[in-house]
Amino acid sequence: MIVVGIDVGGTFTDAVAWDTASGEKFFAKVLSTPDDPPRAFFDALGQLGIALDSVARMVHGTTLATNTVVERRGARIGLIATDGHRDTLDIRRGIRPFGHIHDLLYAPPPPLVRRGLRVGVRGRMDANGAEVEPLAEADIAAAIAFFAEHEVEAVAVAFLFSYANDAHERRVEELVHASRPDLPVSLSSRILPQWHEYERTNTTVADAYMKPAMMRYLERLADDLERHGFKRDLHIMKSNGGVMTARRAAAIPIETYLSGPAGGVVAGYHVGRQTERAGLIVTDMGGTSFEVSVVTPSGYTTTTESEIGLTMPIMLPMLDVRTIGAGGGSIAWLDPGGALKVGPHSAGALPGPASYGRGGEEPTVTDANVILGRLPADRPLAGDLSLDAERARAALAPLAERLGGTIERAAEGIVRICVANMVGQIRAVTSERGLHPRDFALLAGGGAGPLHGAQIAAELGIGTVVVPAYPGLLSAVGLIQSDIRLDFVRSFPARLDEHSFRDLCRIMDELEQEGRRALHEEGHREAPTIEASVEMRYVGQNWQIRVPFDAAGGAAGLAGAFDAEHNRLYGFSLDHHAREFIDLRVAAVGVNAEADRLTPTRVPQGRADGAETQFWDGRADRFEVGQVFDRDGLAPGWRATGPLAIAGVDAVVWVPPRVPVLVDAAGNLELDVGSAL
Amino acid sequence: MSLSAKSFAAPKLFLDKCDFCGRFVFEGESRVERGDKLYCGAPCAAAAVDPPPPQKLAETLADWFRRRDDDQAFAFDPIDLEVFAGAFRTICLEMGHTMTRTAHSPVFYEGEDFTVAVFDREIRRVALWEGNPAQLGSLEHGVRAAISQFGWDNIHEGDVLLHNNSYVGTPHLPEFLMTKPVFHDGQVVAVLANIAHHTDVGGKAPGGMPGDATDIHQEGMLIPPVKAFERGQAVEAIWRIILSNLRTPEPSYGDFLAMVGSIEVGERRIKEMIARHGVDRMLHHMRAVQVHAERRMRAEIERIPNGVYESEIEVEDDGVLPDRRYLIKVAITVLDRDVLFDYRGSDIEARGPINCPFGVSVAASVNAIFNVVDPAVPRNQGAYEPLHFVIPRETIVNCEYPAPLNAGNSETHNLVAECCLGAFAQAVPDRVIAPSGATVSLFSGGGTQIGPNGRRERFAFVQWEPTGWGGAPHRDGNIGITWVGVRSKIFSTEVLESRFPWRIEQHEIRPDSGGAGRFRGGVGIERRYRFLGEEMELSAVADYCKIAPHGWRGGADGGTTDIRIVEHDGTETRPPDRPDGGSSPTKFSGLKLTEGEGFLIRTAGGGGYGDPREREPERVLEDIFDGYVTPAAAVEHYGISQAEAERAFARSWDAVRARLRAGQAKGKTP
Repeated sequence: MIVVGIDVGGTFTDAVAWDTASGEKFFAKVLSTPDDPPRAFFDALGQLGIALDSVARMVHGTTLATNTVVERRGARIGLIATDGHRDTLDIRRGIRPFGHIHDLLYAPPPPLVRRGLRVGVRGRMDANGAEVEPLAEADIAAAIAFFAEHEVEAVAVAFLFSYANDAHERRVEELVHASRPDLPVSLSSRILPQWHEYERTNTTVADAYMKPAMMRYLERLADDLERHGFKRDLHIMKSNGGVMTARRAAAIPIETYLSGPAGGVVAGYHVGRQTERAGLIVTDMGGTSFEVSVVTPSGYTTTTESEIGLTMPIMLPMLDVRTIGAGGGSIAWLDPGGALKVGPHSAGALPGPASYGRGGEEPTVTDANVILGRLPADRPLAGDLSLDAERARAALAPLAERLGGTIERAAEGIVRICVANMVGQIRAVTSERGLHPRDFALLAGGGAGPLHGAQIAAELGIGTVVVPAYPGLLSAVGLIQSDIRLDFVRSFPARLDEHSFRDLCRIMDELEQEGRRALHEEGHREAPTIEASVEMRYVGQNWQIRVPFDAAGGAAGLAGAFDAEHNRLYGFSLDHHAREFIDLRVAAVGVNAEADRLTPTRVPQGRADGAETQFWDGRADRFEVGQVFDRDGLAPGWRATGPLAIAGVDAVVWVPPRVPVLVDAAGNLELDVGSAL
Repeated sequence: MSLSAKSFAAPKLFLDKCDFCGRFVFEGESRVERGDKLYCGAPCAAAAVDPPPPQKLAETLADWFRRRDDDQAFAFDPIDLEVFAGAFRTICLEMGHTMTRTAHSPVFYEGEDFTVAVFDREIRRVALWEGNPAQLGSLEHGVRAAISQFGWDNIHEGDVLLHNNSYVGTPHLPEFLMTKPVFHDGQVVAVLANIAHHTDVGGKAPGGMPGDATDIHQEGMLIPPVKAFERGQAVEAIWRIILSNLRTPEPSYGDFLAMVGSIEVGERRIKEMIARHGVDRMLHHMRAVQVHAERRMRAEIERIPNGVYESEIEVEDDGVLPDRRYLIKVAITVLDRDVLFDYRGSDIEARGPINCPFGVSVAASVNAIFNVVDPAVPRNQGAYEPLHFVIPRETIVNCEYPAPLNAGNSETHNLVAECCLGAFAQAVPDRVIAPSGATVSLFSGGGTQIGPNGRRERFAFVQWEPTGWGGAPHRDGNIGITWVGVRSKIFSTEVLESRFPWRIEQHEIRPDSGGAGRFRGGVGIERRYRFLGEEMELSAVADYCKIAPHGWRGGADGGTTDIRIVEHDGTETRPPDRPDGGSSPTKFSGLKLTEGEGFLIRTAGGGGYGDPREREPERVLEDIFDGYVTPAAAVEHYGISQAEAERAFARSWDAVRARLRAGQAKGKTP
């Protein structure tokens, strides 16, 4: 059977196909077509050169949902809210983002639905879900007519306390469907049954906003795939690292919000299993951005606090992937006070770094690496693209002059600062979770990641860097390794005691049944894995900690688990203080039993001879002789010590002086940075 | 040493005090002596001795400015600089995360009303994470005061100092400043600090914000600089005294623990940095980041045209004498690479709690100038070097013991900053917006309700509401964002109703509250509470009730603050018209409500920018459809025809809603 993963990114579309019977693998990389996304999808499929009727499973990662919001290309939508409360999106809880504290000219992003199309209707629940005022059906009828008059293409419904009682929202959906069966409806109680009306409303509105575009896109993919002979469900990568059917994705498109970067995290997790790591910091550095997340043997790290487009909260469970503008194309510049800065502006793919010779003139991280000899200029990069060292030097010369040093020293500085920016991001994602980078190995993925992995690790005190078999195809590989993963949440704020624990068990049971049912509907027939957890805190605190739920442990067991986790994260616990739970979560997982077998290995095809080259040595302030190897020539067991570079078709690995490197049994590279510190 | 009760009446430090501004002069700081008088610097000396008018003051200081200009000889490696600056920032970020994630009070985890910082051993700020910009003016003064209380010789590794003395460096009593020196080989190499606004601080009103206080002791307990930990051990007596005097000892203790935790994280990271880079390189770069910031700031100041820019603002209602108005005056002189803020001519201290201690006025001035320069200028001590202050003591902008001051930080701070922005608007008009509804509009209080088990339960709260911003030079003002001077989230209705015995009947924008203009002022909001418990006390601190945020360049004024008590029969009463309502409509404490009564606030909107008749009519019609502007206001201010305005309104949901309500009302008529 053949499994296929297709990752449509901002610049490139990557595809991987795997014949699990023969072990044969196919890879494809084509330029993305943002004006018509399905074209790149089928271009990549075509390049794979496989028969679609033999494909058993196809998983797709897409940035369409993100782009629809970021580029504001979504539908004209209407919001139905509780009368007197239609302005949560204008008031936004008064939030000003951190970078704009002293900024009179700051403008928050306008709501995805204008005020004139936000309607308040009568009907009210209280905090416990008891009906205070019945739903005014005349108001709903008026709202439906109003939306028709204003040509609304999708409707979001977000009532106060609908997480405690969804009856009014469900009734609205019935009424809308009765008169307008074609009009998509997004219910806040279905998408995010959790308190905090601003965050819930915004998440629901974002869902409605992207729904028509997503439905069109997925329908077209499904039709075209069927015409090409593909008879099964297309699966879509979700923000939580699992997949769902395209049918479900069209119903709740907001769940695909982080579909793009999620694949890389999944693949990183499986590299961690393959190499038997206790934990990995998974990094993915491409042309414009750097993404980082943490994986452990027990899984990915997730968050429910994501923000989009500066300050629009999306509170769904997502992989905790942090992004900054640091990539090979990031541009170096001097600020007016004389400090060297790198990024966040990027030369992107066009014009690209100066050394690409496509018209770029500003100094970039890639150019700096070319000057330092780490990116061999004489070897082709990504197909027919070759690097021009002279153009790189010309781009850095003015900067070097202003810094008062040589071009090489400026290049070294650019790389150091780019590394420092990435290090800061890794520190943030680990410290927030009470983790120390030193306890992890670093996975260097993406086209530019393996050039910088060793330096990042050295700054953080990380001992080992792992470069996977195909670092540049990390995301596409992750797609075919993913599980089906469906999340369910219920807000149930209550103090933890014997009485509430019984209610807790009952709700958990309901959520689990719901999960099993939904997984079955998704076509998963094997026994699912159920992951149940409770978000808890000490009474008075506001920041929840997630604790695994175990009904057998009883209330006391749950309290003990929470205290232990608080102690681990923050160094203290309040053992005699009352605890409360807030959100109850169940994930129903249809485990992909093949996932581990799909972690790529790399079998050598060429020769392991190194070619002599020159690397800049900052300490000696001159070029020193080193070697560059062809990655496809390095067999398991191969060892060497830096300085050296290892060039593959998808990425180049830089091994600094004195750092030992070896190829493991699966063809991954392991850099022992710790021994050179 | 002889002790008498008198010697403790006013909090003192073992420091010299400037005879002009009253600021304490830290050991090692420059000072000027003239006869038997001592001044904290040339500006105060010049202002005190043979005082020149504002237009001339900066000129007399020109030589002094030049001598203080940044040390051009100081060299740093631009690459190392960025690496270290990032590392210092990350340390502060980690300290901040620890605080938000472990604190027990919404004011920290929702409002983030705290600031953490790293100082060098001269107690100059190297880096910070600011939750609330109002804390920036006093932080180093507060840390210096704490150190000075003991002197370096008496401070040891493991000591943690604590105080909330607002006359020497906290913005008001609820804000506790905790500070800890970091030692390396027996020497102090850095100082860490966390200043945080606690929910209660004792005093006459729960929440520590009585709008009608007449002295500091009504506002809460005043803790002078003490050692809260000595050589790593908690000083139990101190903690007993503090916690015994708080209404909410349990969460407050959790909040203090969170402060300690954040400082300990910072200490660990500083020590790791020393282990990695060596202490000398760290100390060098602590200086380097400041020199860099100073050069950045001076380069920004050079872009502002030289001149003397004067501005004044009237402050309404001090909460005790509601009809008394106070004047704040500033003359801002931009002279090449320096800026002088001269507050001479500002009024005497207010009788009520709207006074600013020295640090709050500095923070407001700094807040204003940071808003007109590149937001990327690092906000460490270096950026403050080109800024100079002349603030006479015993005035509303520099009050002394025992003047009440709780609302100085939350309200007057904003007005001082608006006053400065009014001056900067003359120099850099493109960077300043019209006046905003610059009030935090803060409610606090507490009461009782009968819980589900039939027992009486107590509750207490502090919260605030956002206001509209002024119209900007090229676009409309922001809607309902916490004012420029602070940075705090407001509370969710679902959280409030779940925690407190309230029903929030309305929480929406307030039509027509944004001043009309070519670029409309941002609208304020309306929030309406019905009380469902037994009885409660309400306190409030808000401004812009009697004086509106002004429109600029032909724009109209923004809407004014309106607080009402909703009686059992639905009547909306102004607080002074209640029997226990005091004399001010927006500043009061202890107003009693019983079940079924309610309260509401309509917050101020921003002033309009430019002539409203220059606004494109289509945009006015869109505003009518969206409900930001009513048809009547569109006709009156924007010159839209009655028919057009009514047509736009007829298409809106508000028109549908009105018809639905009318239909229902008719249906009920017999």
